[in-house]
Amino acid sequence: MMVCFSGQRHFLRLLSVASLLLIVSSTPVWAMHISEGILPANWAGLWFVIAAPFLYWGIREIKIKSRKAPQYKPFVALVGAAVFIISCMPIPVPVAGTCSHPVGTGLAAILVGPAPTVVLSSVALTLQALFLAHGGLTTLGADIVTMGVAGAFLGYGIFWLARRMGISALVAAFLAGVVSDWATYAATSFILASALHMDASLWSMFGTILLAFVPTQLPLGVLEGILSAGAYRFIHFRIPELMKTQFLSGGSS
Amino acid sequence: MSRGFHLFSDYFARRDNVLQRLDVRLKMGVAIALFAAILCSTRPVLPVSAWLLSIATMIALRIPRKIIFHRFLPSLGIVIVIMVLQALLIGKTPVFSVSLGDWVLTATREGIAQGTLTGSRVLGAVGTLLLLSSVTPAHEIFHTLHWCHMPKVWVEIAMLVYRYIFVLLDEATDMAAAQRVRLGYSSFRNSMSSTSGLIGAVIVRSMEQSFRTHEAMIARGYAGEYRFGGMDRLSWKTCFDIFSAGVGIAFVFLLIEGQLW
Amino acid sequence: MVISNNHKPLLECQGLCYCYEGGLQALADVDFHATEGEFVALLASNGSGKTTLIKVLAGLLPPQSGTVLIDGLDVTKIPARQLYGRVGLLLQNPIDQLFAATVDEDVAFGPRNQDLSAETVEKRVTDALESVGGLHFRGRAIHHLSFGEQKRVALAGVLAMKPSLLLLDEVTAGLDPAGETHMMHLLNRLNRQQGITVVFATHSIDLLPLFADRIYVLERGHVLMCEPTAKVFNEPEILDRAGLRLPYISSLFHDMRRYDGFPIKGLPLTVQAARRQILALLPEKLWLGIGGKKHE
Repeated sequence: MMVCFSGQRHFLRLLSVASLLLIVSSTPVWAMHISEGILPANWAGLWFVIAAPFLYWGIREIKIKSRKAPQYKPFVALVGAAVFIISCMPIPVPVAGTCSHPVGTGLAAILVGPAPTVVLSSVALTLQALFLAHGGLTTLGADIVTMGVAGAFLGYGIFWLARRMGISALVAAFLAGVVSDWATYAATSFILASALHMDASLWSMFGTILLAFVPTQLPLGVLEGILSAGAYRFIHFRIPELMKTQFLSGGSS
Repeated sequence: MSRGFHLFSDYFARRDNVLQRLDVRLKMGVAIALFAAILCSTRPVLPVSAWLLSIATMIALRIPRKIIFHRFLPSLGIVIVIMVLQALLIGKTPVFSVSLGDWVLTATREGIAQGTLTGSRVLGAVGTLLLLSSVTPAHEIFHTLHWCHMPKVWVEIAMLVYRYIFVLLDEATDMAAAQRVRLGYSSFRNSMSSTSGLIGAVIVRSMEQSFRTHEAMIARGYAGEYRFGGMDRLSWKTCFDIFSAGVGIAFVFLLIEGQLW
Repeated sequence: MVISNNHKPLLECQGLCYCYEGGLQALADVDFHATEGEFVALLASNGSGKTTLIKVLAGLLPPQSGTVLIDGLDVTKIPARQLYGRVGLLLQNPIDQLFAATVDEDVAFGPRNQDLSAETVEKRVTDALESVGGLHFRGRAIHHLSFGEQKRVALAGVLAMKPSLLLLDEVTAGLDPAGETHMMHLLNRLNRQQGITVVFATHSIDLLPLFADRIYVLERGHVLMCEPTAKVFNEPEILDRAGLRLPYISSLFHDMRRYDGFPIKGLPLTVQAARRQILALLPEKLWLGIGGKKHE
């Protein structure tokens, strides 16, 4: 009884802080990337170390593929530029006053594969940090992990799984969009919580941040899924032969 | 396509001024030392001074105040969020509490202190980052990374991304305008289908562009590897400057942290 | 088809055929040649295979049949490094061609691929920018240049490799009248002073008579005509068939001769020539009477 009561109070406290967060910051845009300066030096370093092998893997894959098909490198770079532009486009949110942007890594992972997407997101994040002060240079490692590793690998994983199960490519692209969006935000919440919780429990901090995300990010993830599916259909319609070439991991490999 | 793109320019990074003319490696060295000092500091003094100093420098470089304010705006939001989170969730010594029916929010002393510190670190680090990017074009940073033995593939891709962002941005803006004048964003349903079409079109354009670019590269002797111009040798003077800047920052850091303040 | 004897052939192709994957026959049995120092124009309406021909000539698209010989060497066989030291290609859209962040970087791209020393690269960049009148572009970002400036930088990037043959696709497309004339004079200077052979695809019919030595008229992948400029514009019917036209000034004279019976011998192709013809036709009294100057 006592335990249950304290658990309930604990949850109430999280809920109240989360709703306060929603009130003080109505736009979820602050959470898209982990800002410069949030992570203490040791945490920032740790996430760089975690991101490094994935980055290495991506660079290796690009090297190998472009040795076979020399046009692969400009292809990946241009898709990267496109994803950068896409992540700057506003998602049309029906609620006035809010503003959010697609993550775009799910779609990128379908198009060029998850490992090269890690490289692309590292480039895009560096440029976003320099141009817009979104994210940061010291938090680059952490941001690569949330967008590149969590977003791209889970998004691509669900796409691959859905295709394996015989689900149509359109639905699979939708799922990839949703999952990559949610995974990015979940990973962001976790990294933020782990750096900020100090003497409070990690899980209460994580829960609070996650709760604060849920009301906006749950529907936004679904919207991103719809956009991914729509874009996938458009690309498939415009250049069907390209979807079958060796470049696109959704095709042959 | 309206929001977010206004601030998106490296226009200021190409304007001639004292800091712009400095060796990139010196600027990056100082920035790294500052980042390290800010992230390691346990009191808000150094981060806040770095923040104020960066604003003062940007104003001195005649970057419009409105743009400086806009660039700091997102980080101010983040600072508020962090302060709320840490003040309410961390620590044990209550300072004040607000009750809303059943919900009681208690701010603690330790939490407020920690929140202020983290918030000041964000401001200081974002200030340093903004100052660096206001006086250094992105491609120079990529050149420096190449000089620091960053994998060539990464630098090559980064350079191409940087170049074609502007091309695709123009095209995407035009396409969005074309959709808008034909009422592509008149309802939510419309907007969703227009946006997904726009996303698809930008990707298709980028793929087509990549093939044309590759052809043009081959016609100019490209054989699978982009060759960058080497950077000038790091002069002894620059070496000394980087070293003394690092020592200076370390000294200030120790002075503040060592409670000599 | 006259090859002057004092010039040796630089570019020779026989029976070129190119068919795109979708089955579109872009080039059908095209013979093409250019001698050293020549200024050759490819004139055709949209979708007639100009761009394809330029790309086949540049060795970017391997023809299904026929060969392209530059200096007697097959472009599909010689190493890229050797080929692109001789052949410079300028694409229609400078955006495709300018892929570096700054002007200097982009112009230096080719020379660096040629393994030149840093000093030589630097000198090549300066010379190339100077010859397109763009020394003041140095250090600027590509995306801050206007369209016309981008075209000139793209040309500088090609010139920096010191090619002996320039292949230009729609080099004047999208330029304003002044930019168009400037670009043509620039090419003319490169051709006359540096002896660079120029092959260019174009729609700018009115400027051609001033510059081109010889014109190829293409229609749906076939060569309709290949004659010196004056001769090509004496065949309005063939031009019409290819979806082209005479220069405006020539059409005026053509119509006056045809419909008004004016006694005009030989169509003038340029404004200069037309002026001379008009002055010769009109009695001197007429224009002196309305306040004209005495013609020297």
